[in-house]
Amino acid sequence: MSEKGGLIEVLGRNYRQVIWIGVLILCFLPAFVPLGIPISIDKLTIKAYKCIEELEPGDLVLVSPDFTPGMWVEVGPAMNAIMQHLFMKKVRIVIVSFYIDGPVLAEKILREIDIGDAKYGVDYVNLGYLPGMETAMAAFVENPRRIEYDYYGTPVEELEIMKDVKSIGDFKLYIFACVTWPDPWIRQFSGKVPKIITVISPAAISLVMPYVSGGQLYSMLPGTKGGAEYEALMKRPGVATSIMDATSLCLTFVMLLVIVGNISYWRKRLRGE
Amino acid sequence: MEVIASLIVAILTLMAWSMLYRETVFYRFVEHLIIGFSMGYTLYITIDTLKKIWISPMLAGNWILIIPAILGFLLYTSFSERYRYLSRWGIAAIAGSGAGFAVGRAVPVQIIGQIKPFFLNLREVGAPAIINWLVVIITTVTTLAYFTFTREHKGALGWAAKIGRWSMMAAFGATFGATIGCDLLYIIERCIFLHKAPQVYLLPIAIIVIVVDILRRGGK
Amino acid sequence: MSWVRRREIPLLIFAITFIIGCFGYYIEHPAMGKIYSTLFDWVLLMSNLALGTGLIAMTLYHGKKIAKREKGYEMSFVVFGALILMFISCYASPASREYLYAKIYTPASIAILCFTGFSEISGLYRAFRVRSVEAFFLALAGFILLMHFAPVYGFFIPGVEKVASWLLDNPAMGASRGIVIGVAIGTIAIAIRVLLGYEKAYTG
Repeated sequence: MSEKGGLIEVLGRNYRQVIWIGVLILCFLPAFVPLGIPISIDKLTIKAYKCIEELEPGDLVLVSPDFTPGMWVEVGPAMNAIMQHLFMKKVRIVIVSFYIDGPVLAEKILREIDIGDAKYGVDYVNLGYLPGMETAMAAFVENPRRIEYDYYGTPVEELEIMKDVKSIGDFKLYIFACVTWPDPWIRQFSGKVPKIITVISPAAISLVMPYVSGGQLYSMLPGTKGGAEYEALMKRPGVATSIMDATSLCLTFVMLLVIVGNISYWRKRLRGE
Repeated sequence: MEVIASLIVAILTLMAWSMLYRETVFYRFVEHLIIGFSMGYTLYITIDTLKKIWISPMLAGNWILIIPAILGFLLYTSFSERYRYLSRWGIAAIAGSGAGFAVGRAVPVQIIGQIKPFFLNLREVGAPAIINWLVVIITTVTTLAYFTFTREHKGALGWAAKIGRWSMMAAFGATFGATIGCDLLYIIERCIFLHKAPQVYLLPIAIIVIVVDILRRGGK
Repeated sequence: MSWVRRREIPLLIFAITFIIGCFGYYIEHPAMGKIYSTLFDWVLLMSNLALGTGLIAMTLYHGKKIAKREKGYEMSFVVFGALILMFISCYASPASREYLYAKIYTPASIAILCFTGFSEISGLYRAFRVRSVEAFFLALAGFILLMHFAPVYGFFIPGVEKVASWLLDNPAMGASRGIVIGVAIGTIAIAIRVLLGYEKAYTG
């Protein structure tokens, strides 16, 4: 009895480590033994998918991968899925970043997906980073030709894709990835580009819903779950899909922890401890 | 090269996660390494962008760019106790323009754009849509009532503010649930990475190192 | 030269740039268009130079640590070493930049950020207590969203997705809409306060 009490006491003192070991086991388990839980697809993901499906080859699409490398796992897989779809549709993609890490993360996306026979400068271009956040967005909306050199230092005049970019209205679709308040992007691009889709961190979902409901945003993909749903629609399971199994287990564990913690608290409180 | 990169990243991940066991020099090494990498990339992109938006246009004849360049360099006087006041000129320009662009677009997009959806032709929609519409209106108006601080929250305003608080708890609860979900993603992604070869072979080594350290410290 | 110290100069700069930024979008006149466009060029350049202030601050901090041999100064060498390594690899070639940034720096950043998850979960167990009506609503909404993000619940409990969608589309969205409108009004109010000189953060 005293040994059991001693063990419980040790576990209680080191509850953090116990919880962390539990989380790690639940994260590793589906990696070794995939559960293959089916993913239901949200209506907004279907809306985003259909929007890109309806694009014609040669349509101009603007993309902004505006997140930091540490946040890759939140929006990166969904951006990979969307960019893969864009290349499959043979649209022309202009990438411009308003976050400092955007250009290199765009390079990362382009290397991880299959761009087929798309040619740089003709089918896609990376215009690099424009400093100033909302000022930079306003500047780009006012005149996309303001950027004179692409990320690699090539004059924009020499790039075939930029010959058809004369104003912001030439873009059929704007896709931006964001891990924070999406207000600056929506304020500056809303009403300028026909449709805007955002890949948003799940933590910012409730901030984005008013804009989706108000029509300023056409659709949104909520982080990795949105990415997994998009991969399911494209029938190309990837990183996002592989993360979902462990997500189910870990979130269940979190809910149980909160319930157990509250039961223990209320028991002590009702006993007057 | 891919194998080397995978092993390096696996070692860095396990070094960072040594913090779960206890504060170690390994964790601090990875932390400072990340800071250094971030600074190095920022330096590169700052110089690269400066060449494109200042040096090249100025050499092409746009000499007036010397004025904003001076204002920009004045920002660095913030490190001097004596000349700090000069940095306020640049800060004021950046903040003023940013505020101007934000305010200019806030009215049509964030105020008018958010009020427009309230105008609904109730005859064209069914009962569930009307109920949802009422819920949205009530939660929006009561949330705005909560942020009205010019009058005391008493009576009708008090009740409206209370309902607003509950509505915000629903929104923050949704954010809270989503935040937990997305913070777990980091751990899951790293575990999926670590379970692949060759980095999976480092896991038993890491466990042995921890066990040896526990035994060496006498189970403290 | 005491005039350069006057608060009115940064206030005037703020006011001019604010007015151009705010109204330049709406005034369709060639002269205004030229001024508007010039303002962009100037502010983009200043914003880029502003990035250097963070770098200098960090360099001074770690430089002082090394100079004074403060506790943990050895790690400051790691910072400078990593800075030089990343800087050189960015200029060496796109392949070396991609190797160091995408294959090493990005995953290592994710590993560091794992601690938000670990701390949050252990903190939830210890500190998340439903003690009031508001906390109950927060917990309820949180649990519904947690079930929404865990595909297993959507699969086994059919109503979960519908309830989560309703929550996000209606009460949560309504409250967020109120917050968005409030933030927009607050942004305008703060800008007016700075213009009138009540906020001294930017003007001193």
